[in-house]
Amino acid sequence: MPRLDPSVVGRSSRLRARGAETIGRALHIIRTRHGSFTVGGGIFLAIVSALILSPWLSPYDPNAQELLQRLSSPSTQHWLGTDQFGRDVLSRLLIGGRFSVTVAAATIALSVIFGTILGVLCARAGGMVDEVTMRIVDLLIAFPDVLVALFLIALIGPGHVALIAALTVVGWTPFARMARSLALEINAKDYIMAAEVLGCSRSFIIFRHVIPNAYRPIAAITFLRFGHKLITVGALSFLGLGVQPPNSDWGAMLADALRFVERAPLLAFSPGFAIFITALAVTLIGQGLEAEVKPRKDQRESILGTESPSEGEETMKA
Amino acid sequence: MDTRDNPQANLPRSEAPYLVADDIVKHFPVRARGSKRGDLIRAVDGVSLSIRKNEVLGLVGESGCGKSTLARLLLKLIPLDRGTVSINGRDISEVNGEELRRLRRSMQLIFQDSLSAMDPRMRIGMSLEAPLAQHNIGDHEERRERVLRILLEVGLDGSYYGRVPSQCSGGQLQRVAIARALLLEPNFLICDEPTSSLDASVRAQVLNLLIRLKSRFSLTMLMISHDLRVIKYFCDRVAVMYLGQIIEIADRDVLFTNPAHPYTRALITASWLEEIDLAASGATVRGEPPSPVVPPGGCRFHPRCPVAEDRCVREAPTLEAAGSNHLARCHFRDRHVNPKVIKSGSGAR
Amino acid sequence: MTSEAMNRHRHPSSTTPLLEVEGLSIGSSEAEVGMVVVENLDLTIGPGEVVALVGESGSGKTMTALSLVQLLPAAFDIKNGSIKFDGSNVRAMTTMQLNKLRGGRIGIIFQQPQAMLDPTATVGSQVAESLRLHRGLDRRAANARVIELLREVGIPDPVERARGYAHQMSGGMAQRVMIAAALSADPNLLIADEPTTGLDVTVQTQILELLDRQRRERRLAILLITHDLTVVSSLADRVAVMYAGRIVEEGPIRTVLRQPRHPYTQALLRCSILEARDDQTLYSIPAGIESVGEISRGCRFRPRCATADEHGISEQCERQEPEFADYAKDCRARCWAVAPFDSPLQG
Repeated sequence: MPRLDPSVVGRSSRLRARGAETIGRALHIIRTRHGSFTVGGGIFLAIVSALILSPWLSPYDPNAQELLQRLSSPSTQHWLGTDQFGRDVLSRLLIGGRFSVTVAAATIALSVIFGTILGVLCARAGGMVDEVTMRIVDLLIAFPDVLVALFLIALIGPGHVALIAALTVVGWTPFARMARSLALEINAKDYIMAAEVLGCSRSFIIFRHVIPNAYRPIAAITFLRFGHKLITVGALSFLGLGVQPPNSDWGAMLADALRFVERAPLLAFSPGFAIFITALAVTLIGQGLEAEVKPRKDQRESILGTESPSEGEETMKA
Repeated sequence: MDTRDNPQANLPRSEAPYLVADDIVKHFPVRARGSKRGDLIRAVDGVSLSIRKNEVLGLVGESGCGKSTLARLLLKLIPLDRGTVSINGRDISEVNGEELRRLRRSMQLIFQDSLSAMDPRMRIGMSLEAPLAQHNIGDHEERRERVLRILLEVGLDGSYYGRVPSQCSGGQLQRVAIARALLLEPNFLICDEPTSSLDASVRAQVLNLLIRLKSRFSLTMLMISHDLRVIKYFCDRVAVMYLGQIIEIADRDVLFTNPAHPYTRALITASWLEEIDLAASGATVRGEPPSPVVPPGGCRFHPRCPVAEDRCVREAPTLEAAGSNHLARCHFRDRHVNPKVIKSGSGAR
Repeated sequence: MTSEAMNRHRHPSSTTPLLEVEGLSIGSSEAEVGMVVVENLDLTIGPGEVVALVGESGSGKTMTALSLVQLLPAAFDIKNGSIKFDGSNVRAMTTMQLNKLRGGRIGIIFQQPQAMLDPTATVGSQVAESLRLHRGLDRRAANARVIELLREVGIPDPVERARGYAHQMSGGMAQRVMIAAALSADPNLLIADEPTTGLDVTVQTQILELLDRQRRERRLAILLITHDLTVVSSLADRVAVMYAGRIVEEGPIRTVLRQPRHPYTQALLRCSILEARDDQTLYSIPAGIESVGEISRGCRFRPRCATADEHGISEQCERQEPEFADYAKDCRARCWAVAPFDSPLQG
């Protein structure tokens, strides 16, 4: 990309060039990013657009029952057929998806924000605060989030808000760990000290130096966890603990459809596939982001002409 | 003479020094596996020195001797445990918050690794403008002008403005770092091994640049290096550090012709590698610097010293006169031995 | 071995070469980029001989070293040339043969040794893994040998150190460990890429002493790669100076360092010793516009060369790449300003 020499170029052409450069950079990102990122990103973008536009896209009212049409196969009127109450599956999928994706997204968003802030604060504080918090994190990570969610929902009752709360309670922990380790690593960097020597304020250093250098790995695990959460939300809704009737989401739809799986397999397949493809899309995004953050270990092994270190490790234990 | 080292000992009476460090101490708790509570790394263990205006003081020592920690203490990047640092007569422990931030303009630091000293995600132009903005210097247009001017001053053209650090070589980045430090118009510049990771030809260029800028901006400097060749070219006075203590300090020519401490002699010999006969090594120092957690008893250098005697194991020497304007921390400082090598090629002045 | 015999082995001018490189060219793998990193390079190392390959960043010295054991990064290929180690064609070797060669008959050490050591494995285990692979020793024998090796390279408390980890060591000590690992299979050739760069001066002399002792005791040939001419003089027998992918001067160390003929070598030497001019500024090599990697006619050093103008041969330097001129016994320089020593022009 050609570099502009600002001493030579005039102001308005600089602004125009800046705009062109931004578009150029966007295209550059699409061209050079890891394949997973673009594919996953494309799919996810399509799904989210469809969900956002669902009130206009859905051909029917998702709750409108047409009993004469119950359990019909896909047709020109009902692209994905109808359910046991004659409701259009496609419309229900589009509207229901909003709940599924929103609950998962809300959970992740809260987890990231809370976890990251806590992690950065721990790194900053050090000492007992850091120690204690990290022990708590270690403890919470040991619990499978589904079980904790079940337990909490048993206490507070079902519903999509309850689901968000229950899943966030343990969901923040991996972010805290990662944010803390990143903060420690970055704070030790020379350019942070250089900024301090230059007299930059604390907030400048945090917002302009630390965060821009830290967000990439955090973004990667955000998307990976997002995929995981979608499935978890699906599973908990399937158990009836999520969105309550008359609202429905993909997991609930799947639960309803099981009774009719022989007569109308598409009824169960549609929400299942929806969960699957959305989770896959965000996981691909996460993997694409992660691929850019990985270090290389191969060179060392080839120099010593050896394969894995574990073989040597056993030698010394003798 | 009392046992506390007199930081003024090297100066002519009339001049007030720019910077005075008086018996400063910094210990770090050890956090490694297998260490006991209360173990301390004695990074800086009672250092006193002073720097006159427009003078270049060289600070020499091996890795782990505490020279980088000393630099950070002088700039108040880390807090002192004991002692005082005064800039222009003012004790900097009294300077805090906003006032400290503003004081930072006058004291800058060049790092050894020029790449890690730059935010990898920030363009160079931005990295240079940001400190100006933080100190409310000029408006946006004016800041860019200054940046472009200083880039030219250090020998880089305007194209560097838009570059990212990964697109520049080590030498170019070091120039950028120097430009960034000078933008704030400091009085005092600490260079922490500025040329150690550079190629020979680039090293010469950067040193030439620093010399030129030093006189142009009337800088007072502290030049830290483990390479005595660089120190010899660049500095007016030299302090040698070992395990957290100053073990010798003198005017440059005195130090290189008449080093009083065996460690200094060894460093001088080791710095002129082309003169060394490897098979017949004698003046080189044995072993590695010991742990700064438990420094050896008596003279800290005695386990590696080619001329150590019983007295050295029992009794720790103090920094005492070994000549005019020449202090050394050795029981045998009066036994002057010319090091094997003082080649031609005088220094910068 | 008697000291006489050892002396003979120190200067093996008549024996068959251990390493023979002819016409080596390395460039980027992608055709469009077309970057040439090393061009038509010849290099010979005899048994027990120390050859220094000196050049600054971008000269191609590291690429040359990596190509000798087929470890070029994916972005680069050997375009041309032959590499023979003890008579065998390295370029034709299978992966298995190469794995045996690396760490076996050819040991390799790099700069920043701590980056090369696995932080999660003990130091001893890493030296041992090389032993087990190349020497087929069992655990007990390998352990014992590791301690011996660590002691040989001057590490105090070798038993303690073997149980420790890389991050607990200083740079100098880590480099000793790397040397121990590289020497564990008793190689004939050691490739040392900037082994002392970044280390304290006192540690540098110690490492060089160690290498010197090892090569005398084991009759080890060393390819010493560095940008620092001063490091070279204490250890090497011969030196080859590289610039922009080509060797521009080579010969016995004393001759070349005492009276370098190529303008780049002269300039590099002055820079390395921080020689000052009359006005007290340091000698440095003028910038010039470097077109490293692009194929250009004429001498690569021309944009930065003051000698061309002095001798009035600028036109020739720009028109044609200089050939090697032998200016003394076993010494040659690639420069139009250097007259061959058997020519009537010798001054």
